[in-house]
Parts: sequence; structure tokens; C-alpha cells
Amino acid sequence: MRKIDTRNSFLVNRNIYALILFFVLVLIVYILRLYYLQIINGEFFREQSEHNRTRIEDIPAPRGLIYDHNGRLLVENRPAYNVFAVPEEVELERAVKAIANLCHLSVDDTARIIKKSKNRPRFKPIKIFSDVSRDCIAKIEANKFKMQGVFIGIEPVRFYCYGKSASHLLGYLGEITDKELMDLRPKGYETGDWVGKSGLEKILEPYLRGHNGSRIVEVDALGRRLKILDEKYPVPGHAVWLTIDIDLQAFIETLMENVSGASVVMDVRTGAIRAMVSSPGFDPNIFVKGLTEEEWRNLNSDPGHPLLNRVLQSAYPPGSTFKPFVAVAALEEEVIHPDKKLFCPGFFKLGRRSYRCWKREGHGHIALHRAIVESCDVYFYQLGLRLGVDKIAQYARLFGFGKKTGIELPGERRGLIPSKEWKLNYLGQPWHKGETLSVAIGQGYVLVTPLQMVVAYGAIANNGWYVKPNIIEKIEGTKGTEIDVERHKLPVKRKTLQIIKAALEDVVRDKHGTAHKIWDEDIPIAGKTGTAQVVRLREGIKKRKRLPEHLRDHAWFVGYAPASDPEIVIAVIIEHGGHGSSAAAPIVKKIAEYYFKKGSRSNRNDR
Amino acid sequence: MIDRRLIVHFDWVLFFCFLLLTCIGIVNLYSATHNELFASNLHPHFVKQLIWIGIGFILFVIMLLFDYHHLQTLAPFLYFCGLVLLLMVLLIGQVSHGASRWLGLGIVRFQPSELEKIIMVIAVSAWGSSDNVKLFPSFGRILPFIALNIPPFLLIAMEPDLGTAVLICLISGTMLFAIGIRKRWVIIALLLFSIAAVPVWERGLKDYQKQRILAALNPDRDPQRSGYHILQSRIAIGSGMVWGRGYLKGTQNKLKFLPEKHTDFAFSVWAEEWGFVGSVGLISIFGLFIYRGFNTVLTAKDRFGALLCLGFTSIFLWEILINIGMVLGLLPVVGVPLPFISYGGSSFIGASMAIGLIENVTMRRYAFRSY
Repeated sequence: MRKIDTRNSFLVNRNIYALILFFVLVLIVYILRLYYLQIINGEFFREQSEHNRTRIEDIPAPRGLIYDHNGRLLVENRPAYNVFAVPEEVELERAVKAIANLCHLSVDDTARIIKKSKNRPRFKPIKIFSDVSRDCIAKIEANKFKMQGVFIGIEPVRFYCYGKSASHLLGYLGEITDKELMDLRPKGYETGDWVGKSGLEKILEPYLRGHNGSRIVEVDALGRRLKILDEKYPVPGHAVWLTIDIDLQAFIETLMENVSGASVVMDVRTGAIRAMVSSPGFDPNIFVKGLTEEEWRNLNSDPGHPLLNRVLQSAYPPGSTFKPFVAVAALEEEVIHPDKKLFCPGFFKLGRRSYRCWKREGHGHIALHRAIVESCDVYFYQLGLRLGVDKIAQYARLFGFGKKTGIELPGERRGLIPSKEWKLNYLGQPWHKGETLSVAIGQGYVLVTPLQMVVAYGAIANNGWYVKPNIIEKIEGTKGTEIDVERHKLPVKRKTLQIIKAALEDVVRDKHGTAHKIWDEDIPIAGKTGTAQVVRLREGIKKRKRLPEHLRDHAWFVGYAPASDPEIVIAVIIEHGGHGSSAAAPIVKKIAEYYFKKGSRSNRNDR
Repeated sequence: MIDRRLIVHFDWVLFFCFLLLTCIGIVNLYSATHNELFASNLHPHFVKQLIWIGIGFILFVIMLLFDYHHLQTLAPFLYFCGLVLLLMVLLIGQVSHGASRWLGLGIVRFQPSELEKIIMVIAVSAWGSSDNVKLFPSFGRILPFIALNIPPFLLIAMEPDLGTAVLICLISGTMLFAIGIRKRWVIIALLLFSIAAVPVWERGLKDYQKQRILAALNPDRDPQRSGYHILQSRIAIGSGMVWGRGYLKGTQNKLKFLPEKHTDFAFSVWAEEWGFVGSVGLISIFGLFIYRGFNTVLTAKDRFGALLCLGFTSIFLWEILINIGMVLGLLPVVGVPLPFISYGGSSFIGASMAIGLIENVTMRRYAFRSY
């Protein structure tokens, strides 16, 4: 029998009502959830969805351009083509391999790229190759259909128009390090930004760096840009004009191509650096791609230290080029009359030791003028003894030795001017008289930079006006367009300097002068040779030329021209070059020749 | 001939809910598939769905035409056919997203597991209304019911489509619950379930399935991967606020932040564009729809009819609860569509056939035996 009368009897109606109740309760929970999401937190999620759909893109600001004194462009920006891949759309390793094959690129570090791709927003592209050639771009474009998720982005990068030229003073850029980022973050720097790492790029970072613009774009979930919602244009960095003459710079670089050394040319009156050469150099353009670890290691461990700016980051014993300052001290302190002759038998005995003059047979009876012209060591030993090391140090410091010149370049060294106090403090030993003899001829503990040398000789040439060297002529957008000449008069008698200048002139003019080989009536140079010992020569080894190269002497020449009315000071040091007269002086002569020839040329053209 | 009483007893409210939900589904699907760039062309998904809806309505009418009692005799045959189809899916099915769920039929493809839901309801109803099954049946009587459920569960779980497999058991279970089940069996089943839960979690579930469950509990755990669906869905729904972003203006939808937006996450699209008001409206229509479904259960004229109505109603009930719960981030992400709203031909056809059969039962509630 079927029960067909009541509607309750086929199933357990109680349970059916329970089901309905359950359903209704769950729906109420769902409505409460909707209320929670849409009404209570609606604003929040609305904001999140806006955030979702918009993305802020940086528009990199072009970095400030750098010009030389004559308005030649030294550093500009060029577009670099970078290859990006979106890891969500393409397998990174495969893409890297495929493109490397296509363009014959070497894959240095796929693992690093892949590691970098972790912890990054979804669909954010990863740079897999930077600065690839146009050829490569064409090949990638042609194969695009095979490489979904790979695309090309353009970014301005630095271009150093003269390659290796002036590389040390221009410097280079590199990716910001975590440490730098800590300091620079408040100024708007971000991970992955490039900052100046050395040279002017580093010093002028605040001027050269512009303000990045930004663009708010609407993107879809794949990160594809749909439209631009808002745009702020970038402000380019300030242009900078240098005091450098790039032609002169390049000319000197060719002169010094095969040697290690440094050369500076400074305008005596203004302190403007016209050329600053450190050899060997490097091509800052290689930094643009970002160096691989190996390249960086090679560059750093190169025995020639190509990254070092020898003009101000290396200190050398000055050798005889130091003598004029000892002479100044002696005349100012009146420990000797300029005409008073001292005897040089070719050596000088102090206690039990014998100190040699470079001229073994000796100079005989000799006064100050000839002592400088012929660079008599024994004469200066005696001056040194009369002065004492502290007086020498006092006058050397007056001319700027032992402290930074304050030029606008990073990493400048102080050099070293020893004194009794210094030795006691730093070496814990009392001063020996014998050491004073070394100091008097610019050996021993004395260390100077080529830049200090040029500045100190500049002060002599200027009749006692010390001029601070500078390399930046003007910076676009700063109030004082021309940077003022900073100079002060040294407390040295005019007469003293005249005696010194006359002697320096005769170093070249006089046929006994150590640099007479470079005498030229048209371009009268005044200056001083120097041969700085790297090791003390033991008796027995007669010819220094037989020494292994790294133990040979450094060759110096520092001079100014024209001798009567100085315009420029030039310092040249050739590391392990041997004699100053043979290795350094001829270079100075060529520089002076070039400068004055070019000067007359450009004078004609300009005026 | 069609009896006039049949028309009289036709449940118009249920039918209008069906029509209304279908319309909402079309409107929402248009938005989910609409692309500004190709505004002149209709999205192929949209066109396909329209065709499926047409076929669905034809099947709906066909489901009205015969007396549902025939199904009782046909039940074993249908059950057998269902198993054959599921086997075919495993053997020659089309693979998509790592699962073989579809059978190709020329240019179209079909998901037999959708059809299996209906077949299972018919099979369980036939079992429940057989003469030896009484209310609150003994354990021995329930055994055939359990046996009935195991083959389709296994076959669907092997596709793998654990969501649908569990859903079918839920529907059968709901029917058993209505027939009456003693408390002790419930307690024993719950105990067994909780004992089984640990090894199933350890061994039985695939990694992605575990991830989904964990993601539902805490989507912020892994926002880029397993939590992505839920977070984006939450943002879409929340950003709708009271009145919604406006039709065709949902950015989560249009900019494709919402995954599966035309299928499993269709409700998010609706909630984003129509807001709290639209969402509560849609839920209310579903509520009315289910209520009318239960009404047909209570007014059916025999147990077979009542069980059919209950079974079909519970298909909708569970799908609605699971899908919306998942979209709201209250349940793990499982591939259960929202009836009428989600894109999917098989799902719509299954739904329209189920409603057709509910109407079939309710139309004949005062009719005398016609066989």
C-alpha cells in the first residue's frame, strides 16, 4: 500500500525543514560576508583595485652632459637597448640561452638573473641582457613570435665620447650599492639606480642627476600597459663645463701611452686644470653594460692600476723637484746668503756615513743658483742641516704639500711632509739628522702628488700667489656661473722667489742645466728635473738601467712657461722612467709646444 | 494530449526564477567576456553559451513531456549509461588543465559528470522509492545506496575532479538525509570521516588541492600563487561597494585580474559591477528559487517524485552554496560552477534538464496514474 494522502509522509519532513533552515542560514552568513567586504571594507578594496590596475613607471631623467673648456661634448647619453623577459610568460633560462645563441652573446650568469627574478611583483619584467647591439635587436624582433614574454626596452646610458680620454677625471657610473642606498634613499634613489662611482661623475652626482619623471599607467593582470593616466616629465641633470682642453688632454695621452705615469697642466693665473692625464687609463664605456665579476677583478688586479688617478691619488717621492722649496726655506730663514758658496766633493759625510751627490766627481764650490741649476745634492744636504727638518716642513706645507689641494675630485691623497713630531707620533722614534739630508733632496719620507707639485710650482711662477686648482668651469643652473679663483699670497719675500725663478729658468737655459736638452728660444720653459729613487742603490750596482723595471727611479719634470711671464705649469712623472731630464722633460716640452701652438691657433680663430 | 491540469500545476515562479537567472547569466557573461578592443565582435564564449542556452531550453521542454514515473523503470539503464560515459571520459576524454573531464562530440565537447549528477539523482530516487526502503532504513538497507555511489565517485575522482565527485556524494547524502537516517549512523559516519581525514590529507590529496584549502583559510599566506584567486576575488567583490562599479566597468574583471572570471568566479564579476545591492538581489533570487524547489518536494504526490525534486533542488543548493562560499573566500577553491551564471554548456544543460524534471514532477502532482 502506498501512502498518498498527506504531503508529509514520503520523506522525513523535519529533515527537509532543517535543510531549508540550513540553506537560509548559510545565505545569511554570505550576505553578512558581502556586507563585510563591500560596505565595511569597500573603500579599502576599492583602493586596492585601483592600486591593482595602475602602475607607476619611472621615466629616467637624462644625466647632465659634460663639456670641455672649448665646449666640446665629452660625456653624453645614448639609448641602450635592453632585453627583458617576463618569467610568468617564458622560461628564463631558455630565453637567455636562445637570445645568447641568436646574437652570439656570452651568458655570464644565468643563475644570478634567475635569482634576481625571485621576490618581485608578478609580471614584472626582468632585464636579461643590457645594451645589446642593433643587430641583435633586429634578430630578436624577427623571431618575436617564437619568444613570447621577451621584449626590448630603451634606457639612456652614459656615453664617453672620447673613450679612454680623461677617463680618470670623468669617472664612471655603477649600480647603487646597498650601503650607498642607505644614504641616498632620502634623495629619491632606488635599488637599481646608477650613481657616479668615481671622478666627476661621483663628485657632481647631485648636479648631473636629474629628476626622474613618472608615468601612471593602467595595466591589465598581465602587466600590459593599456593607457597612460598621468605623466610627469623628467627634468634632465645640469650640464657641466670643465676647464679641461680635450685636445691637449688627448695629445698628452698619446705621449704617455706606453708608460705609467701622470701629467697635469694648470693655468697658473686661475688654477684651471687644462689637462690631467693618468696612464694607463681605462674606457669608462665598459662600465655601461655593468661589469661581470671577472672583468671587475681583472681591472682591479691589473698591475698597472688603470683605475687609479695618479695625478692626485698617488704620492711619489719628489726627488730634486723638491729642492726649490728647501731653497726658499733657506733664503727666508736666512740660513745662507744666496751668493755664499759651499763645497761639493761629490759626497757629504755625516757621522760615520757618507751621503753621495748624484755627480760623483762633485760640483766643487757652488752657490745657490748653480746648486739648483745643476741640482747639487751636497749643497742641499748642508742647507737641510742648517734648516732642520721642521723648517723644511713648514715651508713645504706653505706651498701646499702634505695637504689636499681641494680640487673637485674624489680620493685625493695628502702626500707626506715629515717632521720630528710626525715621526715620534707615527713611528715612535726620534728624528735622525741623516734623515734630514734625505728630506732636503726630496727623498726619505717625503711624498707628494703630481697635482700638489703643479700647484706649488704655480705659486713660485705667480710670485707667491697660491692658486687653488679647479676643474669645473661652470655648472648649468647654479648662481655663480664662473667659479671664482681662490688664491692667497704666501708670506714669502719677492726677492727670494726671484732668485728661485732665475735658477729654474737656467735649469733649461744654461748649458749646464739639468734640462738644457729641452731649451727652445721660442718657448722658454723654466722648471726642475727630479729623479726619485724607488730603492736606495747599493754600492756595486752602477747602472740603474740594469735594475728590474719596478725598482728603477721615477722621472719628474715640473715647469712653467713662458719663463718670463708664466701662463701654464706642467708636471710630468714617469714611473720607473729613469732620469727626469731624459724621460720627463721632453714630454713637458712637447706639451708646452702643443699648448702654445694650439693657443695661437685658437686665439686667431676666436678673436 | 496535454492535460490542462498539467499547465495549471506548472510552477511558474520556479520557471520565472529560471528565466531571470538565465538572463542575469547572459548579461554577466557579456561583461566578463566583453573586450573594448573587439567591441564589434561578440566573444566566442558568449555566442557558444547562447547556443547552449537554446539547446538547454529545448531539453527543458522535452523533460516536461513524459511522465517522470518512466524514469523509475529506466533508472538502472540510465545509471549504466552514466558509468559508460564516465569510463569513456577516462579512456578517450579530452585533457584540459591537467584533467580529463570532457568528451568530444564533433565540434562541441561535453562534460559527462554534469549529466551524471542528474542520473545519480534519478538512480538514488529509484532506490529510495523501491518497496523495501522505508523511512529511517536500517544499515543493511542503506548498503545498496552506498554501493550505488561508489563507482561514479571513483570514476569522477580519477578524472581528477574531486569537487564534482564530492558534490555527487553530497547530493546523494542529502537525499538519504531526507529519507531519514538514524543519529548513530550519522555519528559513526562523522567519526569515520574524521579518522579518514588525516591519511587522506597526507596521501590522498594532491599538492595543489592542499594549497587551495590552506589558501582558503589564509589567502595572504601566498598572495602570488595559491592565494591569488581568492585575494583578487575579494578585491573585486569589495571594490563593488554598495552600488557597484557599474555594468562593464569592473576593473578587476576588465583588466583580467580576476582569474576564471567567466566560469567559477562569475559571481565576483557580478558583485564588482553591481555592488552589495546587486549581490544581495542575486542571492535572494537564488533563495526564492531553492525555496520553490523545496516546495515541489513537499507537494510531490509520491516518494519517487519527492526524491527527484529534492535531489535536483539539492544539486542547485550545494552548487550555489559552494560556489558563492568559495568566491567570498569562505570555502576552498574547487571547480564548482554557479548555476546559470557561470559559463559552461554542460552545466547549463544539466541545470535546465533538472528544472525540467522538477517541473515534470510538480505538474503531475494531482494527476492520477497515467501509466
